[in-house]
Amino acid sequence: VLAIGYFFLALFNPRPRLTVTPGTPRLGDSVRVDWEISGRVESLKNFHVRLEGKEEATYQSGDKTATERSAFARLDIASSTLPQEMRSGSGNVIIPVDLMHSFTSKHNRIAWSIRIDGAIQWWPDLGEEFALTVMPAPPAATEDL
Amino acid sequence: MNGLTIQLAGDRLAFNPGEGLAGSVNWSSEQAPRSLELRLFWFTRGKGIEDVGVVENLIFEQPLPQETRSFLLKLPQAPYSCLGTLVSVVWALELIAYPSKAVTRQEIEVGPGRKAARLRAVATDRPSALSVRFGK
Repeated sequence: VLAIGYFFLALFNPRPRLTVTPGTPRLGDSVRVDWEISGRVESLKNFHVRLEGKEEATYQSGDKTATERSAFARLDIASSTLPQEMRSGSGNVIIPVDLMHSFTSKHNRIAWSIRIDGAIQWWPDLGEEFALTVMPAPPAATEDL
Repeated sequence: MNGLTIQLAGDRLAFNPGEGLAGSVNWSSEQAPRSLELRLFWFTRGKGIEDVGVVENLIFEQPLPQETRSFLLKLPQAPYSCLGTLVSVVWALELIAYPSKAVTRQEIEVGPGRKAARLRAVATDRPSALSVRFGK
């Protein structure tokens, strides 16, 4: 019942909208993130926009399957405590060329995403994740590594 | 089957994505095998259930009991080799003799600069090339 109540309250959280350019970046690319947040922005105590890379492994545990995740990259794009700065803005981040591109097989995954997090007092926090496909670097960019 | 070997040209074990993969395979047995297969593939290693992707295979027909044959394969642009906390992607060549199914495997690294991507778990924010503009 508590969980249902929590998720019901979260329905009234501020709602972020993102534009990522380029939409399908390559390793080594500079990515621009534009955001707009609608709803009760003033309720946010703080706000963080990050690019995150995660490993995901699905394994057998008894009769069940479980998935474990581990972040290997967490790159700040923006953070603020001021409502007018949270409402809309943009930031840039360079995806490190020496990391791993997006990869999906049946039980294992390398996943990239843009995360927006914000703390709200006496209310479920804002935590939204937007999947991003990161392609391998172009061949010319990797020759000098 | 007494011996199966995979020898890469120049004894190289690390390659750029898209690069050619040249070498030779050698086998030796008292009776000629029916055929041999060389597979270029990746597989996952780590906490998760293993996944495999075969990219190319070469069949060596009408083999003699002892023989050396050369091969030339082309690596794709992806996936890169990677070494992670939970997930690693490993590239390999495997030579299989039939019908005995004797097998030998040679692992290789495939990635920019001929290196696997190394993924370390992050607990805290890491600095990045960053520029920020607020407001429209």
